[in-house]
Amino acid sequence: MTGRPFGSELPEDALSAYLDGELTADARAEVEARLAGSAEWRSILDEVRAARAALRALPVVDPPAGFFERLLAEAEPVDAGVEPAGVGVADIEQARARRSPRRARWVAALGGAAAAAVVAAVLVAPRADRVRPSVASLTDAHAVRSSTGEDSVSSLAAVGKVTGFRK
Amino acid sequence: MSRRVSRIGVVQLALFVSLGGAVLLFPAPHAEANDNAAALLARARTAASTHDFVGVVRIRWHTPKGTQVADVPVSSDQGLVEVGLGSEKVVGHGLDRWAGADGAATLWHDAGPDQLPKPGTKWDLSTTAGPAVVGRPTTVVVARDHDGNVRARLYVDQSTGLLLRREVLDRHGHAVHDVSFVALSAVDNPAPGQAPPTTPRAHRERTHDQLAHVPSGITAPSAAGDGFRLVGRYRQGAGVVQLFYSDGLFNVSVFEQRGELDWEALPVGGTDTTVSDHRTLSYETAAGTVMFWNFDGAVYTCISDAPPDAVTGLVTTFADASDHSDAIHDVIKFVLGPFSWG
Repeated sequence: MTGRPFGSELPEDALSAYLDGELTADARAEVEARLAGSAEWRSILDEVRAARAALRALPVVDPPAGFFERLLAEAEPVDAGVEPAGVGVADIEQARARRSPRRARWVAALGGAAAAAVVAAVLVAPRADRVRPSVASLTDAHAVRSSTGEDSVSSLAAVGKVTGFRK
Repeated sequence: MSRRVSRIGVVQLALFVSLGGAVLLFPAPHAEANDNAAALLARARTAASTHDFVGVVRIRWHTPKGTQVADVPVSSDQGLVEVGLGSEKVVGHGLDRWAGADGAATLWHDAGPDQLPKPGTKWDLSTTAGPAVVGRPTTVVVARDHDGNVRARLYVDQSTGLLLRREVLDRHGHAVHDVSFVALSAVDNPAPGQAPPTTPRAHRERTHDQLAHVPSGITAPSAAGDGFRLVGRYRQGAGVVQLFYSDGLFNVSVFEQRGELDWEALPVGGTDTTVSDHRTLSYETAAGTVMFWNFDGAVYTCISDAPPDAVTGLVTTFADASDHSDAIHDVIKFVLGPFSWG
């Protein structure tokens, strides 16, 4: 997304790029003109902003206890037997020869840990299509709609009173 | 023989016409009672904005933990109705509504629901002299279901038409939801020349939420449950559609969105039931019944001021409607065309 006109483009894409500062000056001006003239675009901007904030608010997932130890233990066979026992005097050539597999071991361990952390995050973190209805705002919407077709006091009295549902 | 038959036919026709005339000229007491009750309810719809007052409304509802209570200050000043305080405050003027914290409200506006069903179509309505509520004589509109069970009592102020109390009952006659004035003072008419109160300043507007049609992939039966008719469709946030149903006396909103319901995020204490082979979880709240269900990749949140058993009928309707739709086709259309709403 750079400077294309937004006639056929989804507003969410344009507004996401707008928030990311990815638009050219012309495109940015066009988005701002649309925002100034369209309540719908302003509403969608609020939603995009809220969605991004919700994503950023996702918890950082810690791996289970002992996870890294088990991972390292599994990585051990990679260089088993490479480390010579009982080396009394440092031999620069031998040390150089050992450095390479040691580095490989750490790279393998860290790589494995990173991959496992990603897997753990996918398993533990909420899936993208998991829906947690925003009950408070939905009940307010219901009350507001109801109040135009019936007695407004009894309909609106419940606004803000429905609590206990996580957003 | 044929002349005799012809005479009998004429007599039958005359009897039929005279009976029909009698029905037209002298409507049954039942129909008259329905009309009286409907007229009272119609008056109550607008009374709050045509009489100035200050008061307190108490909401009572029943949960497995016991009876819950919330008191809400209300007032009306020259057509501007204010309900609640602070961030829970809602201001109404005509068809406009401002909800949210003072000075940072969201303005809601639409033309209101399409023509509402007549309450007497589904409900057997009658009126009777009622007890005083906050010291004011009332007329009670009683709504009975097909089985003759009282499901709602609406206490209308005899002098102003203001709805002073609204009581909803389950099929066993137990009150499940009750909204009632517990304090009310009429305010004298404003002095001539007195400036009308100002409406809040909205930082956000929801003035284009009404949808002429729902997006593809959204199940929106035109009639649902026992006598509820679809009277409004609204866009409610990203990917959520509000379907607004009414039976003339009660309202139901069904919020529909694609995805899988995160059941574990719902609080404990709900009533877990199975309706039409689908799991539902419902809660009693200050706003009425809130029920969740999930099928065919859609999450439904239903909010209703109707008796709780009325909501379960809607689940069946939606399940049936969804079963008959071509889900894959709808999903593809939904993915490709969500921005052609309106």
